[in-house]
Amino acid sequence: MAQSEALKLTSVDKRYGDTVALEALDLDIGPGEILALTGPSGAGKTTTCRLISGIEAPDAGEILLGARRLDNLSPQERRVSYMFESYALYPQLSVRDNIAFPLRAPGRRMRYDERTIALRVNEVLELVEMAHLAQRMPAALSGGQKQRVALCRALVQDATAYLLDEPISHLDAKLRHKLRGAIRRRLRQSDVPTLWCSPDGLEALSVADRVAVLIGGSIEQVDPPMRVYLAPASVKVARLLGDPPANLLEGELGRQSDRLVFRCDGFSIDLPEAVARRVETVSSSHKVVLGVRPTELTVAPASGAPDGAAAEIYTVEPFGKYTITTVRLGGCLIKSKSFDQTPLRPGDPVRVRFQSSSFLLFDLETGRALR
Amino acid sequence: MATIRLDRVWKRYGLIEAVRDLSLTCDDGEMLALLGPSGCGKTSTLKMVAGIEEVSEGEILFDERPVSQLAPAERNIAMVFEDYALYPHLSVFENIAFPLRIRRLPGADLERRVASAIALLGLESLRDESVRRLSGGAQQRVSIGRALVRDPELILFDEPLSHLDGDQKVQLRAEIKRLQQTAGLTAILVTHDQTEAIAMSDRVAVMNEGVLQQCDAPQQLYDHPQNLFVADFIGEPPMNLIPVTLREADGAIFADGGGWHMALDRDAAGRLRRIATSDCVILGFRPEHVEVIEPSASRQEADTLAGRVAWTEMRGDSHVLTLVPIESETNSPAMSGEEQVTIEVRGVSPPVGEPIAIRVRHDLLNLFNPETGRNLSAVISEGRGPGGPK
Repeated sequence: MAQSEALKLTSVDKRYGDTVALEALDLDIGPGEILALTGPSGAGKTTTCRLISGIEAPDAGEILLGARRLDNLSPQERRVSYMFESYALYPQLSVRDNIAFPLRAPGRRMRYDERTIALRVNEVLELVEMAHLAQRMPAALSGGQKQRVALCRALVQDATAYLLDEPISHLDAKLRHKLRGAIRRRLRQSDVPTLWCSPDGLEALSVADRVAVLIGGSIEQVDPPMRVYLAPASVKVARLLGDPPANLLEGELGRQSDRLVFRCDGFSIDLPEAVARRVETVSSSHKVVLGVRPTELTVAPASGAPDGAAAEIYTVEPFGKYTITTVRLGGCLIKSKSFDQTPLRPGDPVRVRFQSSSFLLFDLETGRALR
Repeated sequence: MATIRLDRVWKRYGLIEAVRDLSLTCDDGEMLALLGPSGCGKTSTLKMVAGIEEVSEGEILFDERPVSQLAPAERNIAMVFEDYALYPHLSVFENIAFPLRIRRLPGADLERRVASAIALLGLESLRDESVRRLSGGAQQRVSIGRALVRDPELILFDEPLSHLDGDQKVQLRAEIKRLQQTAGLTAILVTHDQTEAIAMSDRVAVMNEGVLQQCDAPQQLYDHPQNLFVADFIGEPPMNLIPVTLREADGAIFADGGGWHMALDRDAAGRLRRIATSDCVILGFRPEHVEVIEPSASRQEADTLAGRVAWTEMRGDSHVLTLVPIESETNSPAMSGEEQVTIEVRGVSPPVGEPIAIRVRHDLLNLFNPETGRNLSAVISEGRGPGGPK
């Protein structure tokens, strides 16, 4: 088998008529690396997969595997394994034969005897806990089962790269959790690059070595999961990540004696030294977006809490392991995530305290992070 | 609004029993969720309450008035559907006014009631828009407005958020909950999504194969599931469920299974002594109900689990770690579920391969009978004998 190589996209453009699907896209996935591509629907995730697999051609730019140009090759020659978001199963073939199809397909490079095929098919079916359904026809499968068959058909191949377009989106929470780990460990055994597409920012954080955030056809940020979460490059990235994402408050910076404060519609927040240092170069009264993660504020009944900004409960959502409380503060609705339970109801008066050394700050006009 | 009571309700389709002997109450002003996997009977139940399907046996009562013989139109129920079911050519105002126009409500009255529903749902600026131009979230708000304006005794929400994407779903989820609480609506919510059910409802009825498994407040359901089905169904990542054998030594009780060894504290051990009829139980604990012991502790404490980090997942403000027993292989892709323990920790994650010791919070430890699936701890706290409620 050929040695594994990195997958690289440079300055790739793709247009559909007047619509720009991808613009100046640069991506680099190392051998054995899982890069998660995340972004809202319509961002260009599927288009990226189609270009790499060869189903469509880019208008400009290069796609390389190692030093080899891929974009001049036919899809068969590229040997990229692509799991379609739409599954694309053959309705006349059983689960087993659907998965074996790429191993038997004419024009393939490797030849497999039937025994090897059976072993490989069984191995991936067991991975997704569907060995007992090998003889079923696709019509008799649920949506989640079809998705797992499509996933198996992608994983069973010896490929130069894996493209997984929303591989686990239609599974229930428990199975998603199991498969995130199982697929990742399976991919680790090969050392080819993998692109894992998902609109779910949390899924991207949990499966990837690095996360690329794609919005409106352009890459906003590529970084390891921790870095993307802790230091989102823009407001758009911050809005996509977190459970729930950070509160993004529009306002302006100001000085109060020697402290830096953030002023918003009807309230203000003292910014700690660590945050102030990040914006030493910008003028006070600069317009900004302040990002406050839901864990960076506390909400307490007004009766028992003398400190903090006066606010009112908007909603309380207890999730079992934590509670999300939304408060109305000035003109804003702000979410707080807490791990203890205080019985609060809509309309209850509360006090809100903001406490963090890691508030996010963005320029209001450009949306880019101030660092 | 009314109190809704189902009294020993059955639904049969030929030989198939879709709902079996279901007794449930939704109090006046309460939001009750029916939650379960597909085929669990939740939709059949909703249809019987609405009057779209006949009750095979048993009775449904609104404020103790039997309604099972009444046609849907005679029940004063409003429904909110997953696909909104609006009139696409009509405006927001006219969609909401529709049920009142059918009743030939006088103009001023109609105007006032529609306006108040529009205000309650924050639709003022969209009043005269055609509904087909609205986002999915706004369309669903219109359909809730149309339900409210009739002043029904009960509102049925049938998967109201399933056609919305991320952001809108989170927003409308909170809006519906707020509306239900502030307006004191009596509502039944049908959903397959546990997050929705838990976040929106006062109580959740978990169903499986036509049978009610547990009906409780969300926190109770989460901390004290009455059986293995509920334990496994609720929570993400799911509860750890480890089959263990109990062994008594030096006056303490030890649990061994799947390569794990742990001493149970005196409370849990005492409980077990009284209830366990066999040496085999299933130990259940939630991934976040553990404490990671400082790695400096060189010797394993008896009441901890000692393992190795097999892999980690970043989940934003927390990390989910999968642990395997200290002596097992970490890199086989298909590993038996019994060997794995999932924990969720906030803050920094230890690296893969690292030894780790955890202590399970014994106050939130659940013990299940592997044969009946019953939560042995629940049996004790309810003061019932073992063997289950039926």
